[in-house]
Amino acid sequence: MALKEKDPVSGTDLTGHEWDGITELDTPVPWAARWALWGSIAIAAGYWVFYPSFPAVTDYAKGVLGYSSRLEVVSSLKGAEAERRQTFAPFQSGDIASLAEDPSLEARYGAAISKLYEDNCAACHTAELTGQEGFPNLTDNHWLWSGTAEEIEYTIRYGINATHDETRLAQMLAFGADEMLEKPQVNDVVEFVLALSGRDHNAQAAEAGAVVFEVNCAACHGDDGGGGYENGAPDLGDGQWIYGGSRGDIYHSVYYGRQGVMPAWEGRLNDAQIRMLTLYLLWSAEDAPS
Amino acid sequence: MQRNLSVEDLVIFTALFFVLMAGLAILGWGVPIVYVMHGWLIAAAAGWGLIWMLGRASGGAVKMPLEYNDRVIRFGIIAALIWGIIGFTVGDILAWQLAFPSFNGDMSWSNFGRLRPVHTSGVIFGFGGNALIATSFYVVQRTSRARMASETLPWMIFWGYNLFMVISASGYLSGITQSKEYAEPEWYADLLLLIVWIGYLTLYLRTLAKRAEPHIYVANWYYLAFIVVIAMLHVVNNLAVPVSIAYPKSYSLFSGTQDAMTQWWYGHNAVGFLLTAGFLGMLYYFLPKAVDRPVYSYRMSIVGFWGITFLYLWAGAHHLHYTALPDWVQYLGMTMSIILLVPSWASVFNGILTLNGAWDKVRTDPAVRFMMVAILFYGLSTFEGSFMAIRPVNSLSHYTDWTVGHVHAGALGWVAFITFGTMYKLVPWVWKREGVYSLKLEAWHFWLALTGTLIYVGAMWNSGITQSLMWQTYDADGAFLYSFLDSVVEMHPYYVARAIGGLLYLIGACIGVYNIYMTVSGPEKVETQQAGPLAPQPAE
Amino acid sequence: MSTQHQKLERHSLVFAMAILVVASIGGLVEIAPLFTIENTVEKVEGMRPYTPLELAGRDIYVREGCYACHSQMIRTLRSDIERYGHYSLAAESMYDHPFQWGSKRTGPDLARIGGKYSDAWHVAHLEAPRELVEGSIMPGYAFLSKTRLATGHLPASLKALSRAGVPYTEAQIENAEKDAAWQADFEQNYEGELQESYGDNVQVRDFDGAPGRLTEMDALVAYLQMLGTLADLETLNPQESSR
Ligand code: HEC
Ligand code: HEC
Ligand code: HEC
Ligand code: HEM
Ligand code: HEM
Ligand SMILES: [Ca+2]
Ligand SMILES: [Ca+2]
Ligand SMILES: [Cu+2]
Repeated sequence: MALKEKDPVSGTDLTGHEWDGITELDTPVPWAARWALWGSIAIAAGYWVFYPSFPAVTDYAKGVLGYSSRLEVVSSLKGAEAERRQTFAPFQSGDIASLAEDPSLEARYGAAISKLYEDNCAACHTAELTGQEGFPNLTDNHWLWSGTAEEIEYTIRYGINATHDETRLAQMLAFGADEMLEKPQVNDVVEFVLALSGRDHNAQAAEAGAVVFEVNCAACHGDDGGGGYENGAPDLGDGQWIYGGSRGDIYHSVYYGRQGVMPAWEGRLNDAQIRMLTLYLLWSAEDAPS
Repeated sequence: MQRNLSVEDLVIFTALFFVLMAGLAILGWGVPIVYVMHGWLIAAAAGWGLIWMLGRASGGAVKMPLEYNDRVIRFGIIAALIWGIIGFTVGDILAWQLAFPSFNGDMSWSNFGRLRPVHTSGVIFGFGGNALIATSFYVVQRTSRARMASETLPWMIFWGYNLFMVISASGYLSGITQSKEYAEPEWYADLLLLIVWIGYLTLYLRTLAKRAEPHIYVANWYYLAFIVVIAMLHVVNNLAVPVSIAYPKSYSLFSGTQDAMTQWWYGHNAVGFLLTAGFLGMLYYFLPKAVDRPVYSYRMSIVGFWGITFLYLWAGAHHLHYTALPDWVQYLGMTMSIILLVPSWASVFNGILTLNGAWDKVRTDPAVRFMMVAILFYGLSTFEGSFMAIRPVNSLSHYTDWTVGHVHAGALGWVAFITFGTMYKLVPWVWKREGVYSLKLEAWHFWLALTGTLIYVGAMWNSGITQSLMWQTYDADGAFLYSFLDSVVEMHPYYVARAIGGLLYLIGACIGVYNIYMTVSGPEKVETQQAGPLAPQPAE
Repeated sequence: MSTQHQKLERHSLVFAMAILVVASIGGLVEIAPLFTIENTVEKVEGMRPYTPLELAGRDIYVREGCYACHSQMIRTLRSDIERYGHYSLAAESMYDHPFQWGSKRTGPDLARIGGKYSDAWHVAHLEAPRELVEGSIMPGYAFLSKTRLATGHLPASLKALSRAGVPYTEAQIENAEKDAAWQADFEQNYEGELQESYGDNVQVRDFDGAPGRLTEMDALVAYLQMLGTLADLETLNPQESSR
């Protein structure tokens, strides 16, 4: 075997090969690298023994600990839930009406519930609960469905026009599109609705509209347009609009109808959470400047 | 007239013919307009190739000069730089879009989801891929002391590959995507790449086979691993059933869990064999060459190489921790990722210690500085990667910007740094110039790139950890402390910082391109020294 | 070691084969058993293939790259489950060619988005997210409401999927185009037909608020509204499905 050349700088042997001027030192693998290699393999082997690892054809090594991500998370969820039954104790009871009377709850729980609200409801009703076009304001103290704690809880649980069997139904008919009213009649009743909320209107048309309203609309919205709690028909005189109060918006509501959908939260949220949200809305409505 | 068609010519000719037919079929039957245009492109490129080959065949036998083939390498460098600028620019647009969403323009082709793969493919395959093809052509010839084994294939590879890139990128803008990260191109582009890749593999093997050196140099091991493994990954992960030749759309053959595992087996090893092995090949040639020192340890090269080649393929499951992928795969992926750190760092030390005896060059030669920082970032991102592969750590990092920070520590700091360092050496060599146009501009590029990278990565570490903490923090009662939207809003300053870091990086790259342009348009070196006679006698 | 290796370094083809062999092992061990180990995909009731309209919506989801920002994979972590719902099952993506689990949560997880919001909300949100949700950074997709849904390829799409193993019947493939229109058409009630063909959990209505017009928005919203709603999680045995 030919004597190997040494690299003058490091004093280490060269391997004797050369490619386009590049040579290699024959430096042995340092002990640290060997230790690191065997050490990391040992750590890995430890996992292979204790945790699920190598597969066979129809099964795999379960590991000494019998560990499973799913079983572990299910038990940690159970623990968390048990803890929350303590920390959120008041909301475990079913009596929403008396909860609503307890003033201490807001200061204690308001902040915690606000994030539950933001993750689920704010997309529609906004973080300030003030609603936006198509989604009602929840702070205006004008409820579509009475506004008692029980009714609000019901609305949240089952939704409005939602897919749940128990859902509330709120159907504003398409009076124009479905040819229940002639176009001039629609125009008239729109003027009447504008008048109800004290907006600029054509007084003559509004007078004609009053008749149309009495025949077609009062059944739901009430004789004075003040809304009906049985069917979720909004108060048309309060200046608060779900779909906007311009002439064009109102025309659209009457001509094409409206069937706003509020999702049902049963299943996605648990009973305690639904109660918390109910109270959260009531508190916010109380605190809102009217 | 003398006809002298080789077997190779016949095979390429047939392949081109089939590609032409496929292109014609697509432009004839295809439906969305972009797909039809892809048909035109494919047909035109294949037709042009056929005509070129016919013209050349009629000119008699192809001569193979006794010198290295550097012309195609120049094309590869230019293509890499063009795709680099495109990819960085789109990356920075994405960064601004996340900071100020109105930059989406809300048009179909300009929104984040469609632009993102233009960036990832642009930088990984356009910039990185072209750089690897160009440098591998350079390295395999020099270290084999042989001209490339074919006069035709290098050009077919170069043009075919960039045709694939153009089709992919323009497809993304119009929504043609398979949605598998880093494998987004649809079935017809995948097939095109497959043909190109087979050509690449045979060219590489044939060139190695006719080498005049008895042994294959370590840089070639890595380039070869890059070519072989990417071929395997590409074929398996892209298995899909096309809707019909009339549509660009296909459905992947696997579904759900199996598809996820296949994808991340692919995804992690696109990192491992393109962004890592390929560029290690680059490092192993250009670093010792640039500093004129022997590689620190041949034995460490062996450990590093086979360690990476074996272990990387097991690690993909670390992209799927706590998902519906069975636990046993997750634990295998995690443990192999931990062991993987050792061969990764073997390469790091092999690189850094090769600088022994030439440390002064780090100060005086910005190209060497680029390479040294690249090694450090490689060490950093592999350490970080192995750390993130540990399940509890991943429960924090997964889905967050921490991953994006890790990606760009590797991508900006390692992949692009080693590439630019190499370019500053390679360009004067292949264009036969005295040296780089301006060392000062080169240094400017270096510092801008380093600052940009640090800002980018720093911002993403902060935003990533902030995100994961905001998602997982509970108050004393066991209720969430933050809504999801809180975390989105909180990201804004970091996203602005990242966009600025990216802009610095982009400016640096533009300076680099200008510098290279000026180098190329400068005067030719007076006396060219041949790197040694090309041996007519192969070693195998 | 190094003398052995020097032999290998002399044969390029052998070297390449060695690479291929060494690199194949990991994938074989980790991927192949996923097809043979039975409880890889849990048993749960309710899963069915996508209806043509949902599939078209899913194709749009893929096309727009929603997965770049949204995951569809609720991990087995407490905070994931408490924010987004029951951890995702492998069975829930068994008909997903390709999977859409995602790797980045720039926006929230969507694995169980179905039923969380109303159709009208989704339409308004997709058209202009930042007008509805203050602080959102999601791009707007208003063009979806204006683009008529292409349905011509749907039979071929279902056919391709059935080749990949999704159990579509001949009739379903044949009727794909009609089924897509029926599912989005509020005026005529084809709910019965669709549910007979695909199962009770098919939602039939006009999704985009433009009755009589079949748009890409119809399809995308139909897809979003069924996400996570199919599997009957009550029928899952956590002990058996732990793996
Ligand atoms: C998809 C959008 C959407 C989401 C999310 C949503 N809502 Fe609603 N909500 C509505 C709409 C629309 C209405 C009005 C329905 C109508 O027009 O009849 C409504 C009505 C209500 C009402 C009845 C208001 C009244 O005046 O009686 C309550 C209470 C309510 N929502 C609470 C909530 C709570 C609490 C949440 C979160 C758990 C929530 N909403 C989430 C859309 C939504
Ligand atoms: C069957 C019951 C019913 C009848 C009859 C009815 N409405 Fe309504 N109306 C509703 C309900 C319920 C809503 C709320 C719909 C929603 O929020 O989606 C509503 C909403 C409206 C609104 C929109 C209010 C807002 O806040 O934007 C207007 C305006 C309106 N009705 C006017 C009329 C007029 C005018 C008529 C008669 C031509 C009429 N309604 C008849 C039930 C009815
Ligand atoms: C640039 C990133 C980005 C892209 C791309 C994107 N989204 Fe979003 N998405 C978000 C963010 C951030 C939110 C949270 C804020 C909000 O509700 O707008 C969100 C919210 C959502 C939500 C509501 C989720 C919830 O639980 O509140 C849905 C549904 C949704 N996106 C669907 C889509 C679809 C479908 C696409 C593709 C067509 C898409 N997104 C593309 C970022 C994005
Ligand atoms: C030892 C080496 C490495 C290991 C073990 C490793 C590990 C990881 C881990 C755990 C993730 C996060 C997966 C997730 O939670 O989604 C990741 C993501 C990623 N890494 Fe690495 N990494 C390594 C080296 C590198 C290098 C050198 C690069 C070079 C650029 C790189 C590029 C990426 C990319 C692009 C992703 C993002 C994938 C995606 O989600 O799209 N990694 N890596
Ligand atoms: C100017 C420089 C760059 C900027 C501004 C930039 C910006 C971005 C942005 C904004 C994203 C999207 C992140 C998200 O989805 O949240 C991204 C993703 C990505 N970029 Fe870059 N980028 C740059 C350079 C590069 C380079 C050079 C590479 C590779 C060589 C690269 C590889 C990637 C990859 C792999 C991803 C996907 C990450 C993942 O899925 O986790 N980028 N980049
Ligand atoms: Ca592909
Ligand atoms: Ca419609
Ligand atoms: Cu990885």
